[in-house]
Amino acid sequence: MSLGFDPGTFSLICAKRNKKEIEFNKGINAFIEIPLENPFLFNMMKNSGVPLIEKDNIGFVLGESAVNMAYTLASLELKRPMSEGCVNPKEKSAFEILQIMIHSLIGEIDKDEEKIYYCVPANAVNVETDADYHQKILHSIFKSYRSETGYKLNPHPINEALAVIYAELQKKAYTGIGISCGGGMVNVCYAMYGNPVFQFAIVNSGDWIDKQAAKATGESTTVINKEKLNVDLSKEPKNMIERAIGTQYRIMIEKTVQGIKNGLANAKTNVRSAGAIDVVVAGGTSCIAGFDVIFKDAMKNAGLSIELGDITRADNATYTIAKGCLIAAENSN
Amino acid sequence: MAQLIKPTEVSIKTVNGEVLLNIKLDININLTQNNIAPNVIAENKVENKIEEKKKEEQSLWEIPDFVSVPKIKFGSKEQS
Repeated sequence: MSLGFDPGTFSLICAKRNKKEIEFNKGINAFIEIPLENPFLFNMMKNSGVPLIEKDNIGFVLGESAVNMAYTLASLELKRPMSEGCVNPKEKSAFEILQIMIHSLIGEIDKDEEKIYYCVPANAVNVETDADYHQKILHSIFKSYRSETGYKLNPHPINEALAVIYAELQKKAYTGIGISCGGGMVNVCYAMYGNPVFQFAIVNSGDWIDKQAAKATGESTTVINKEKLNVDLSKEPKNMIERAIGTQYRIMIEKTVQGIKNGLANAKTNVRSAGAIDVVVAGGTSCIAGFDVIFKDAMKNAGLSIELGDITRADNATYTIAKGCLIAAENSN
Repeated sequence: MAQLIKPTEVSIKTVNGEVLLNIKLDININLTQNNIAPNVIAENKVENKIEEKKKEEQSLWEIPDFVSVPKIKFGSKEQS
Protein backbone atom coordinates (compact mmCIF):
# COMPACT_ATOMS: atom_id res chain seq x y z
CA MET A 1 0.00 0.00 0.00
CA SER A 2 1.82 3.09 -1.26
CA LEU A 3 0.89 6.58 -0.10
CA GLY A 4 0.62 10.05 -1.61
CA PHE A 5 0.69 13.22 0.46
CA ASP A 6 -0.06 16.82 -0.42
CA PRO A 7 1.26 19.06 2.38
CA GLY A 8 -0.36 22.28 1.19
CA THR A 9 -0.31 25.75 2.71
CA PHE A 10 -4.02 25.46 3.49
CA SER A 11 -4.88 21.74 3.29
CA LEU A 12 -3.01 18.58 4.23
CA ILE A 13 -4.21 15.57 2.24
CA CYS A 14 -3.13 11.94 2.45
CA ALA A 15 -4.10 9.54 -0.36
CA LYS A 16 -4.22 5.74 0.01
CA ARG A 17 -5.54 3.02 -2.30
CA ASN A 18 -8.44 1.11 -0.81
CA LYS A 19 -9.01 -1.75 -3.31
CA LYS A 20 -9.65 0.18 -6.57
CA GLU A 21 -10.84 3.38 -4.94
CA ILE A 22 -8.59 6.11 -3.60
CA GLU A 23 -9.27 7.16 -0.04
CA PHE A 24 -8.34 10.70 0.98
CA ASN A 25 -7.84 11.93 4.52
CA LYS A 26 -7.90 15.73 4.65
CA GLY A 27 -7.23 18.27 7.39
CA ILE A 28 -6.83 22.04 7.41
CA ASN A 29 -3.23 23.15 8.00
CA ALA A 30 -3.98 25.68 10.74
CA PHE A 31 -4.32 25.93 14.50
CA ILE A 32 -5.16 28.31 17.32
CA GLU A 33 -3.72 28.57 20.80
CA ILE A 34 -5.98 28.56 23.84
CA PRO A 35 -4.86 29.10 27.44
CA LEU A 36 -5.39 26.14 29.75
CA GLU A 37 -6.69 28.15 32.69
CA ASN A 38 -10.04 26.44 32.34
CA PRO A 39 -9.49 22.66 32.16
CA PHE A 40 -13.26 22.10 32.12
CA LEU A 41 -13.57 23.95 28.80
CA PHE A 42 -10.57 22.06 27.38
CA ASN A 43 -12.03 18.68 28.41
CA MET A 44 -15.47 19.55 27.04
CA MET A 45 -13.93 20.45 23.69
CA LYS A 46 -11.89 17.25 23.68
CA ASN A 47 -14.96 15.14 24.47
CA SER A 48 -16.92 16.79 21.68
CA GLY A 49 -14.36 15.53 19.15
CA VAL A 50 -12.35 18.73 18.60
CA PRO A 51 -8.75 17.77 17.67
CA LEU A 52 -6.69 19.13 20.56
CA ILE A 53 -3.17 18.80 21.88
CA GLU A 54 -1.56 20.13 25.01
CA LYS A 55 2.01 21.38 25.12
CA ASP A 56 3.85 23.53 27.67
CA ASN A 57 0.57 24.39 29.38
CA ILE A 58 -0.98 25.70 26.17
CA GLY A 59 -3.86 24.05 24.35
CA PHE A 60 -3.84 23.87 20.55
CA VAL A 61 -7.01 23.45 18.55
CA LEU A 62 -6.19 21.97 15.15
CA GLY A 63 -7.65 21.99 11.66
CA GLU A 64 -11.17 22.96 10.67
CA SER A 65 -12.27 23.43 14.29
CA ALA A 66 -9.56 26.09 14.62
CA VAL A 67 -10.81 27.84 11.47
CA ASN A 68 -14.40 27.74 12.75
CA MET A 69 -13.40 29.15 16.14
CA ALA A 70 -11.31 31.93 14.57
CA TYR A 71 -14.22 32.74 12.22
CA THR A 72 -16.65 33.06 15.14
CA LEU A 73 -14.34 34.69 17.69
CA ALA A 74 -12.41 37.45 15.97
CA SER A 75 -10.05 37.79 18.97
CA LEU A 76 -8.51 34.38 18.23
CA GLU A 77 -5.59 34.43 15.84
CA LEU A 78 -5.51 31.62 13.30
CA LYS A 79 -1.92 30.40 12.96
CA ARG A 80 -0.49 28.70 9.90
CA PRO A 81 2.66 26.52 9.92
CA MET A 82 3.21 27.36 6.25
CA SER A 83 3.12 30.51 4.20
CA GLU A 84 3.65 31.17 0.49
CA GLY A 85 3.83 27.44 -0.24
CA CYS A 86 6.69 26.69 2.17
CA VAL A 87 7.16 26.04 5.89
CA ASN A 88 7.72 29.27 7.73
CA PRO A 89 11.14 29.29 9.50
CA LYS A 90 9.82 31.97 11.85
CA GLU A 91 7.06 29.62 13.08
CA LYS A 92 9.36 26.90 14.46
CA SER A 93 6.99 26.08 17.30
CA ALA A 94 4.43 25.21 14.64
CA PHE A 95 6.64 22.48 13.12
CA GLU A 96 5.74 19.98 15.84
CA ILE A 97 2.06 20.71 15.36
CA LEU A 98 2.48 20.24 11.61
CA GLN A 99 4.21 16.94 12.34
CA ILE A 100 1.33 15.73 14.55
CA MET A 101 -1.21 16.69 11.88
CA ILE A 102 0.74 14.92 9.10
CA HIS A 103 1.36 11.73 11.12
CA SER A 104 -2.28 11.62 12.26
CA LEU A 105 -3.56 11.93 8.67
CA ILE A 106 -1.27 9.07 7.54
CA GLY A 107 -2.60 6.85 10.34
CA GLU A 108 -1.36 3.26 10.30
CA ILE A 109 0.69 1.57 7.55
CA ASP A 110 0.92 -2.13 6.62
CA LYS A 111 4.64 -2.66 6.10
CA ASP A 112 8.01 -1.25 7.00
CA GLU A 113 9.67 1.27 4.65
CA GLU A 114 6.32 2.00 2.97
CA LYS A 115 6.82 4.37 0.03
CA ILE A 116 5.26 7.80 0.35
CA TYR A 117 5.52 10.46 -2.36
CA TYR A 118 4.93 13.99 -1.09
CA CYS A 119 4.71 17.10 -3.22
CA VAL A 120 6.99 20.13 -2.97
CA PRO A 121 6.88 23.45 -4.82
CA ALA A 122 9.52 24.86 -7.13
CA ASN A 123 11.21 28.08 -6.02
CA ALA A 124 9.10 31.08 -6.94
CA VAL A 125 10.15 33.40 -9.74
CA ASN A 126 8.60 36.54 -8.23
CA VAL A 127 9.36 36.25 -4.48
CA GLU A 128 12.32 34.81 -2.58
CA THR A 129 11.22 31.39 -1.31
CA ASP A 130 13.16 28.50 0.14
CA ALA A 131 11.82 25.32 -1.38
CA ASP A 132 14.96 23.36 -0.36
CA TYR A 133 14.51 24.15 3.34
CA HIS A 134 10.81 23.33 3.03
CA GLN A 135 11.63 19.96 1.48
CA LYS A 136 14.20 19.13 4.18
CA ILE A 137 11.72 19.88 6.98
CA LEU A 138 9.02 17.76 5.35
CA HIS A 139 11.46 14.94 4.70
CA SER A 140 12.46 14.92 8.40
CA ILE A 141 8.80 14.91 9.43
CA PHE A 142 8.04 11.89 7.21
CA LYS A 143 11.25 10.14 8.31
CA SER A 144 10.26 10.51 11.98
CA TYR A 145 6.96 8.69 11.43
CA ARG A 146 6.47 5.39 13.29
CA SER A 147 3.37 3.20 13.13
CA GLU A 148 2.10 1.45 16.27
CA THR A 149 4.08 -1.62 15.20
CA GLY A 150 7.22 0.47 14.63
CA TYR A 151 7.04 0.59 10.82
CA LYS A 152 8.76 3.50 9.08
CA LEU A 153 8.10 5.45 5.88
CA ASN A 154 10.35 5.77 2.84
CA PRO A 155 9.63 9.34 1.67
CA HIS A 156 10.29 10.82 -1.79
CA PRO A 157 9.59 14.38 -2.97
CA ILE A 158 7.85 15.22 -6.25
CA ASN A 159 7.03 18.58 -7.83
CA GLU A 160 3.39 19.42 -7.17
CA ALA A 161 2.56 20.52 -10.73
CA LEU A 162 4.08 17.28 -12.03
CA ALA A 163 1.73 15.46 -9.63
CA VAL A 164 -1.19 17.19 -11.41
CA ILE A 165 0.07 15.74 -14.72
CA TYR A 166 0.36 12.22 -13.22
CA ALA A 167 -3.17 12.48 -11.86
CA GLU A 168 -4.92 13.93 -14.92
CA LEU A 169 -2.97 13.34 -18.12
CA GLN A 170 -2.63 9.55 -18.14
CA LYS A 171 -4.63 9.33 -21.40
CA LYS A 172 -2.33 11.95 -22.95
CA ALA A 173 0.80 9.91 -22.15
CA TYR A 174 1.58 12.18 -19.19
CA THR A 175 2.44 14.97 -21.62
CA GLY A 176 1.25 18.54 -21.13
CA ILE A 177 1.26 21.44 -18.71
CA GLY A 178 0.10 20.90 -15.12
CA ILE A 179 -0.85 23.89 -13.00
CA SER A 180 -1.45 23.67 -9.29
CA CYS A 181 -3.20 26.66 -7.68
CA GLY A 182 -2.69 26.15 -3.96
CA GLY A 183 -3.12 28.34 -0.93
CA GLY A 184 0.32 29.93 -1.17
CA MET A 185 1.65 29.39 -4.69
CA VAL A 186 0.83 28.60 -8.26
CA ASN A 187 3.14 25.85 -9.55
CA VAL A 188 3.60 25.15 -13.25
CA CYS A 189 5.26 22.12 -14.87
CA TYR A 190 5.59 21.05 -18.48
CA ALA A 191 6.24 17.33 -18.81
CA MET A 192 6.75 15.02 -21.74
CA TYR A 193 5.97 11.33 -21.19
CA GLY A 194 6.00 11.98 -17.46
CA ASN A 195 9.43 13.62 -17.43
CA PRO A 196 9.55 17.26 -16.34
CA VAL A 197 10.91 19.58 -19.04
CA PHE A 198 10.68 22.75 -16.95
CA GLN A 199 8.94 23.88 -13.79
CA PHE A 200 8.52 27.11 -11.87
CA ALA A 201 6.28 28.70 -9.27
CA ILE A 202 4.65 32.07 -8.64
CA VAL A 203 3.68 33.35 -5.18
CA ASN A 204 0.25 34.77 -5.89
CA SER A 205 -2.58 32.45 -5.02
CA GLY A 206 -5.32 31.74 -2.45
CA ASP A 207 -3.77 33.51 0.55
CA TRP A 208 -2.93 36.52 -1.61
CA ILE A 209 -6.59 36.77 -2.66
CA ASP A 210 -7.66 36.56 1.02
CA LYS A 211 -5.20 39.30 2.03
CA GLN A 212 -6.13 41.68 -0.76
CA ALA A 213 -9.89 41.17 -0.37
CA ALA A 214 -9.55 41.57 3.43
CA LYS A 215 -7.74 44.89 2.90
CA ALA A 216 -10.46 46.11 0.56
CA THR A 217 -13.37 45.16 2.84
CA GLY A 218 -11.91 45.57 6.34
CA GLU A 219 -12.75 41.94 7.14
CA SER A 220 -10.29 39.36 8.49
CA THR A 221 -8.60 36.91 6.11
CA THR A 222 -10.39 34.08 7.97
CA VAL A 223 -13.77 35.57 7.07
CA ILE A 224 -12.74 36.10 3.43
CA ASN A 225 -11.42 32.54 3.24
CA LYS A 226 -14.77 31.15 4.41
CA GLU A 227 -16.86 33.44 2.18
CA LYS A 228 -14.71 32.53 -0.82
CA LEU A 229 -16.34 29.09 -0.91
CA ASN A 230 -19.73 30.67 -1.76
CA VAL A 231 -18.56 32.86 -4.63
CA ASP A 232 -19.40 32.06 -8.26
CA LEU A 233 -17.12 34.03 -10.59
CA SER A 234 -19.56 33.65 -13.49
CA LYS A 235 -22.37 35.42 -11.59
CA GLU A 236 -22.91 39.00 -10.42
CA PRO A 237 -21.60 39.49 -6.85
CA LYS A 238 -24.31 39.76 -4.16
CA ASN A 239 -22.37 41.92 -1.71
CA MET A 240 -19.16 43.84 -1.19
CA ILE A 241 -17.19 40.81 0.05
CA GLU A 242 -18.13 38.76 -3.03
CA ARG A 243 -17.23 41.69 -5.27
CA ALA A 244 -13.80 42.06 -3.63
CA ILE A 245 -13.11 38.32 -3.86
CA GLY A 246 -14.20 38.23 -7.53
CA THR A 247 -11.98 41.19 -8.39
CA GLN A 248 -8.94 39.71 -6.64
CA TYR A 249 -9.52 36.34 -8.32
CA ARG A 250 -9.47 38.01 -11.75
CA ILE A 251 -6.28 39.90 -10.89
CA MET A 252 -4.70 36.70 -9.58
CA ILE A 253 -5.61 34.76 -12.76
CA GLU A 254 -4.27 37.59 -14.92
CA LYS A 255 -0.97 37.66 -12.98
CA THR A 256 -0.71 33.88 -13.07
CA VAL A 257 -1.19 33.72 -16.84
CA GLN A 258 1.35 36.53 -17.27
CA GLY A 259 3.73 34.55 -15.04
CA ILE A 260 3.19 31.45 -17.18
CA LYS A 261 3.86 33.54 -20.31
CA ASN A 262 7.11 34.86 -18.83
CA GLY A 263 8.07 31.38 -17.61
CA LEU A 264 7.52 29.91 -21.07
CA ALA A 265 9.47 32.75 -22.66
CA ASN A 266 12.42 32.17 -20.30
CA ALA A 267 12.38 28.43 -20.99
CA LYS A 268 11.57 28.70 -24.70
CA THR A 269 14.47 26.55 -25.86
CA ASN A 270 13.05 23.69 -23.79
CA VAL A 271 9.47 24.05 -24.93
CA ARG A 272 9.09 22.33 -28.25
CA SER A 273 6.16 20.17 -29.12
CA ALA A 274 4.98 18.50 -32.31
CA GLY A 275 1.37 19.35 -31.52
CA ALA A 276 -0.82 21.41 -29.26
CA ILE A 277 -0.06 21.13 -25.55
CA ASP A 278 -2.90 20.25 -23.16
CA VAL A 279 -3.20 22.21 -19.94
CA VAL A 280 -4.80 20.95 -16.74
CA VAL A 281 -5.33 23.09 -13.65
CA ALA A 282 -6.00 21.81 -10.11
CA GLY A 283 -5.58 22.76 -6.45
CA GLY A 284 -7.94 24.22 -3.86
CA THR A 285 -7.82 27.78 -5.20
CA SER A 286 -9.08 26.61 -8.62
CA CYS A 287 -12.19 24.96 -7.10
CA ILE A 288 -14.32 28.11 -7.00
CA ALA A 289 -17.24 28.12 -9.46
CA GLY A 290 -16.45 29.92 -12.71
CA PHE A 291 -12.66 29.74 -12.25
CA ASP A 292 -12.18 27.36 -15.18
CA VAL A 293 -14.02 29.63 -17.65
CA ILE A 294 -12.06 32.77 -16.72
CA PHE A 295 -8.77 30.87 -16.62
CA LYS A 296 -9.37 29.30 -20.03
CA ASP A 297 -10.19 32.70 -21.59
CA ALA A 298 -7.13 34.31 -20.01
CA MET A 299 -4.84 31.52 -21.28
CA LYS A 300 -6.27 31.68 -24.82
CA ASN A 301 -5.97 35.47 -24.99
CA ALA A 302 -2.47 35.66 -23.48
CA GLY A 303 -0.61 35.11 -26.77
CA LEU A 304 1.56 32.32 -25.36
CA SER A 305 4.56 31.10 -27.31
CA ILE A 306 3.11 27.56 -27.55
CA GLU A 307 0.04 26.13 -29.23
CA LEU A 308 -2.53 25.22 -26.61
CA GLY A 309 -4.69 22.10 -26.73
CA ASP A 310 -7.46 21.36 -24.22
CA ILE A 311 -7.53 23.56 -21.14
CA THR A 312 -9.37 21.76 -18.35
CA ARG A 313 -9.83 21.83 -14.61
CA ALA A 314 -9.45 18.52 -12.76
CA ASP A 315 -12.77 17.00 -11.61
CA ASN A 316 -11.87 16.80 -7.96
CA ALA A 317 -9.36 19.63 -8.01
CA THR A 318 -8.68 19.77 -4.24
CA TYR A 319 -7.52 16.12 -4.17
CA THR A 320 -5.75 15.96 -7.55
CA ILE A 321 -2.23 16.63 -6.24
CA ALA A 322 -2.43 13.97 -3.49
CA LYS A 323 -3.78 11.54 -6.12
CA GLY A 324 -0.83 12.37 -8.43
CA CYS A 325 1.61 11.72 -5.57
CA LEU A 326 -0.05 8.34 -4.93
CA ILE A 327 0.20 7.42 -8.63
CA ALA A 328 3.91 8.34 -8.57
CA ALA A 329 4.44 6.14 -5.49
CA GLU A 330 2.57 3.20 -7.06
CA ASN A 331 4.59 3.48 -10.28
CA SER A 332 7.94 3.58 -8.47
CA ASN A 333 7.76 -0.08 -7.40
CA MET B 1 67.35 35.95 35.52
CA ALA B 2 63.71 35.30 35.92
CA GLN B 3 62.95 33.73 39.23
CA LEU B 4 59.27 33.49 39.52
CA ILE B 5 56.40 33.64 37.16
CA LYS B 6 53.25 32.83 38.98
CA PRO B 7 49.78 33.47 37.75
CA THR B 8 48.15 34.91 40.76
CA GLU B 9 44.75 35.44 39.33
CA VAL B 10 42.86 33.98 36.34
CA SER B 11 39.20 34.56 35.88
CA ILE B 12 36.79 33.98 33.03
CA LYS B 13 33.38 35.49 33.11
CA THR B 14 30.64 34.87 30.56
CA VAL B 15 27.81 37.32 30.70
CA ASN B 16 25.25 37.98 27.97
CA GLY B 17 27.34 36.53 25.19
CA GLU B 18 30.51 38.43 26.21
CA VAL B 19 33.66 36.63 27.37
CA LEU B 20 35.84 38.57 29.77
CA LEU B 21 39.26 36.99 30.42
CA ASN B 22 41.50 38.47 33.13
CA ILE B 23 45.06 37.20 33.63
CA LYS B 24 47.13 38.94 36.27
CA LEU B 25 50.83 38.02 36.58
CA ASP B 26 53.40 39.06 39.19
CA ILE B 27 56.91 38.71 37.78
CA ASN B 28 59.90 39.21 40.03
CA ILE B 29 63.13 39.62 38.17
CA ASN B 30 66.48 39.90 39.92
CA LEU B 31 69.09 41.50 37.81
CA THR B 32 72.21 40.70 39.84
CA GLN B 33 74.41 42.95 37.81
CA ASN B 34 74.34 46.44 39.28
CA ASN B 35 72.20 45.09 42.09
CA ILE B 36 69.03 46.19 40.44
CA ALA B 37 66.01 44.20 41.50
CA PRO B 38 62.93 45.63 39.93
CA ASN B 39 59.54 44.16 40.59
CA VAL B 40 57.48 43.92 37.48
CA ILE B 41 53.81 43.53 37.68
CA ALA B 42 52.20 42.58 34.44
CA GLU B 43 48.54 42.72 33.97
CA ASN B 44 46.86 41.46 30.91
CA LYS B 45 43.26 42.13 30.25
CA VAL B 46 41.58 40.60 27.25
CA GLU B 47 38.09 41.56 26.51
CA ASN B 48 36.55 39.66 23.70
CA LYS B 49 33.05 40.46 22.72
CA ILE B 50 31.36 37.73 20.83
CA GLU B 51 28.54 39.21 18.86
CA GLU B 52 25.37 37.39 19.47
CA LYS B 53 23.80 36.19 16.22
CA LYS B 54 20.44 37.60 15.48
CA LYS B 55 17.75 35.08 16.40
CA GLU B 56 16.32 35.24 12.90
CA GLU B 57 19.71 34.43 11.36
CA GLN B 58 20.16 31.45 13.68
CA SER B 59 16.79 30.00 12.81
CA LEU B 60 17.40 29.73 9.06
CA TRP B 61 18.39 26.27 7.88
CA GLU B 62 17.90 24.78 11.32
CA ILE B 63 16.19 21.40 10.98
CA PRO B 64 14.71 20.29 14.29
CA ASP B 65 15.25 16.71 15.49
CA PHE B 66 11.81 15.31 14.93
CA VAL B 67 10.93 12.25 16.99
CA SER B 68 7.87 10.07 16.59
CA VAL B 69 4.75 11.71 18.02
CA PRO B 70 1.46 10.21 19.19
CA LYS B 71 -1.29 10.40 16.58
CA ILE B 72 -4.65 12.01 17.27
CA LYS B 73 -8.06 11.81 15.60
CA PHE B 74 -7.66 14.43 12.90
CA GLY B 75 -9.09 15.09 9.43
CA SER B 76 -12.03 13.81 7.46
CA LYS B 77 -12.15 10.96 4.97
CA GLU B 78 -13.40 11.05 1.38
CA GLN B 79 -13.33 8.46 -1.41
CA SER B 80 -12.92 9.08 -5.12
